[in-house]
Amino acid sequence: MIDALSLALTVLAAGTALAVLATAAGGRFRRSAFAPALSLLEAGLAVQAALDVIGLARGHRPGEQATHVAYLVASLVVVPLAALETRRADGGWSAALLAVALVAVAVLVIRMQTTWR
Amino acid sequence: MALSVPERSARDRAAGSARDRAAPSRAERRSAPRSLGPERVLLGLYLLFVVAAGARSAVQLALHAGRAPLPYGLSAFAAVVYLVGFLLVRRVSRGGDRRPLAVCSLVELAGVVTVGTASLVDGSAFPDATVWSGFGAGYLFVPLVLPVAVLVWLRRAPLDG
Repeated sequence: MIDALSLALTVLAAGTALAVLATAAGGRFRRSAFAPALSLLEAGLAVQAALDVIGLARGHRPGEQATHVAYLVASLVVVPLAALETRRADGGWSAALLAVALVAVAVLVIRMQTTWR
Repeated sequence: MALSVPERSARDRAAGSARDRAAPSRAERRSAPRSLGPERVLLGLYLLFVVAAGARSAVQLALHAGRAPLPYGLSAFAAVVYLVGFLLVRRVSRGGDRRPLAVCSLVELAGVVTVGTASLVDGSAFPDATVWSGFGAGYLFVPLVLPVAVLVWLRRAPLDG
């Protein structure tokens, strides 16, 4: 894992979650407006996953390997699932669901830094 | 009187266009804006905790079950409760009976409060954390808030089933 990439992904996920909640609080939440941020986040998570797989293939053994692999898979699945569920839905509950998914991704990335060591 | 073929076709076309106006096409349904309710957020949270508690207990029980059987067993129990909660929220959102979900939420709340209190009072019994340790502090206290949110939702959601 590259610490700088993990930090960037955590900040992007948490920042997007805050932006989602802020726009929802102001009644201006538009799901389509967050599509670029979600795509960027998922691309970053895919790069992180690829780097982890390369690291494992080269012989790195994480302290909690099984947990790390479970987090890795979950981190790749959460954003597409939330994006699919909230497509064309601009209401407050759609924003809440998206924010929950983004916070979950941020927590997963932080936890993965611990399980990788 | 029997209709001629052109007259019948014209009538069918008129009926067809009326049907088209009444029922949106599949393409229209796909592009129409949707509205999500609070149950989608509850379902998302339950799904997250099914995975979190399930993966946690599965890994712990598979790799070192003897190290801390009580917390690992409680994590497995929590995973089952979250799975049942997920299924029951889905059932209620489709108009099903609310009572099983209320019971499940009360069991869940009792579990969080009991395990949370026990983990603070007798830390030695919990050498490794469970999802419900410290009232779910490791998960931003969502495990404590979730059953309460479900009970509030059950009280406020319109009765349609």
